Amino acid sequence: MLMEVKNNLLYFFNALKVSIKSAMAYKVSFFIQALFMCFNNLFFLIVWKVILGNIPTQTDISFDGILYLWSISTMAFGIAYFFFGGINKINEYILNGTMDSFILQPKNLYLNVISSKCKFSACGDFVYGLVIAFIVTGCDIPKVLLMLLFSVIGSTFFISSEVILRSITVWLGDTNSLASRYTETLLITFSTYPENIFSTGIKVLLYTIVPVAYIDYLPIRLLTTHFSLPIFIGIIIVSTLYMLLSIYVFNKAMKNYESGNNMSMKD
Amino acid sequence: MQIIVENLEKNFIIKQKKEKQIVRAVSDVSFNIDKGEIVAFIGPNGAGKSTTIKMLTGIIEPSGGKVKVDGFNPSTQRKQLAYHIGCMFGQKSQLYMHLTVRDSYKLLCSIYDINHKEALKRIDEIADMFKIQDLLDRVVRKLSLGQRMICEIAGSILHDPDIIFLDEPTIGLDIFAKTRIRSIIKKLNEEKGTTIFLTSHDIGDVEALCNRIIIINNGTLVTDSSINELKENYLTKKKVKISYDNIITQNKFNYEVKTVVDNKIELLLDKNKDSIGDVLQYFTSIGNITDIQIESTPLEDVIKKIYSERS
Repeated sequence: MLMEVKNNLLYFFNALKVSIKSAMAYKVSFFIQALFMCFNNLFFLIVWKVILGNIPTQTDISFDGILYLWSISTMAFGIAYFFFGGINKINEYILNGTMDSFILQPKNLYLNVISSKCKFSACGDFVYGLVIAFIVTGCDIPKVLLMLLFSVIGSTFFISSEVILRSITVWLGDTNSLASRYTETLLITFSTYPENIFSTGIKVLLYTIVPVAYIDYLPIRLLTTHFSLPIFIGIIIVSTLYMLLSIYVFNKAMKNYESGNNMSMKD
Repeated sequence: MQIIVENLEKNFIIKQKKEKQIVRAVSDVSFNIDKGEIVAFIGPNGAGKSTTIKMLTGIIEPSGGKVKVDGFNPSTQRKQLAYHIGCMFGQKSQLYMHLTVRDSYKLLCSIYDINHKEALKRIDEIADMFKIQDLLDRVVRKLSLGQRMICEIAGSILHDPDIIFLDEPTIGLDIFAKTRIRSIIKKLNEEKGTTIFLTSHDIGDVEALCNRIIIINNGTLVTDSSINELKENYLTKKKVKISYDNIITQNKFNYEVKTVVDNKIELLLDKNKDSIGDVLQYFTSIGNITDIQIESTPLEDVIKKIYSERS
């Protein structure tokens, strides 16, 4: 068992090394993608700064609060898509039969598939989030480490959602659009706006089917007010449940996978 | 027995205008394969070849029947089985197009838990065996199709599998690349005793490599016999072409003549009925023979005949 975990981890790091090496075949494109992702995120912060400086708001939104939101959500996004970029390829693997080559390998299929790719622009998101974390905490290392921990936990929600929504391609046909809309329009958008601007009805959604609350709302509460162990454990339990649900749906989908005979090559 | 297949079935559900239709891709297929055999598993497009291979390798689950490959159940023991089999699907690459062949092989070794030192040794051995030392440091996407196929086969045996499944290994290759791949497969079987399970539309692959042939059509097993048995049972007809030094004027013969054109006669002999010696003696008496050609029915025609007779 321990040996298998060790071998899986070793393979994970080798696969990551290979993905980075693949990306280095197009070095310029890699750095431009990462850089533009940083600029893109910076643009949103500038907009928030302008809004908060010029428009009086009735809710207690602070610019620091916005920085916390952007820091944790971009780091969570960065971790999920940089290390596990295979998550948004699952529907493709199912549709063009590339999943065959993963099934033929003696590795944990779930881990093998999600770690099969790196999204290089996500590297820019992570670095951007980390820089913001240092700025907003005034280089308070323990706090930055805690933010990193919350980002790792938050990344599981991105991973689980992508895996679930793309695995159901097996039954529904290509769910690329559904999965992209869910992560981009719901998870990412909501996770970059403060909780207190939303009505109770929307908040119910954000604590259930669009679990943004566990990515950054609750972690920020723990970081900026007082640390509550029950809430911290609650976040871990919910993230574990989402991960387990994604593993269940993925395995169920693989039982129904029908393969295909398209010509294909790994990239 | 290294591969045991009993009453294998696979049904696919296809939805058409709100109605579900069950398509039987493979039905009641049974066969056994011994260690060290090279078996051709052939059939026309859509016959169920790839579906069967995918069930044997654990890619898809059978709807019914029993499968054991090297003692493992592919559906429930996928990971354990993966260490014992190698697969090469002509239409799908296991190499990484942006990496060099060597880096792709290193990652494949890591997949099979081969440590770094052992991996380097294994890559050199395989490169030596396949004579691909000059390809190791080339990026996969820059290889020709033939070079890539050879590298794919080499990649599929890095972990020293007991059985190799080859699905159309020579698809799209020219005659030189085909010949090289065939000799590599033969060498693997002879030197390492690896069992080879091969599907191909190229009868040349079957004739050059296999001693046994399993034919599948419409998802059911049509024939399972040795190539020699197949030839014995089906290659009973011989085409004989005789050329004379003068135009043939005779229009009645003791044997069934297909065509008479100027100084050439073409006839079809049934070796079970007609003696070649008697036939030659008879046709020698008609005139001065300048050339004789005796041709067996190509295996391809035999297979076509089997497809049409038994489907």
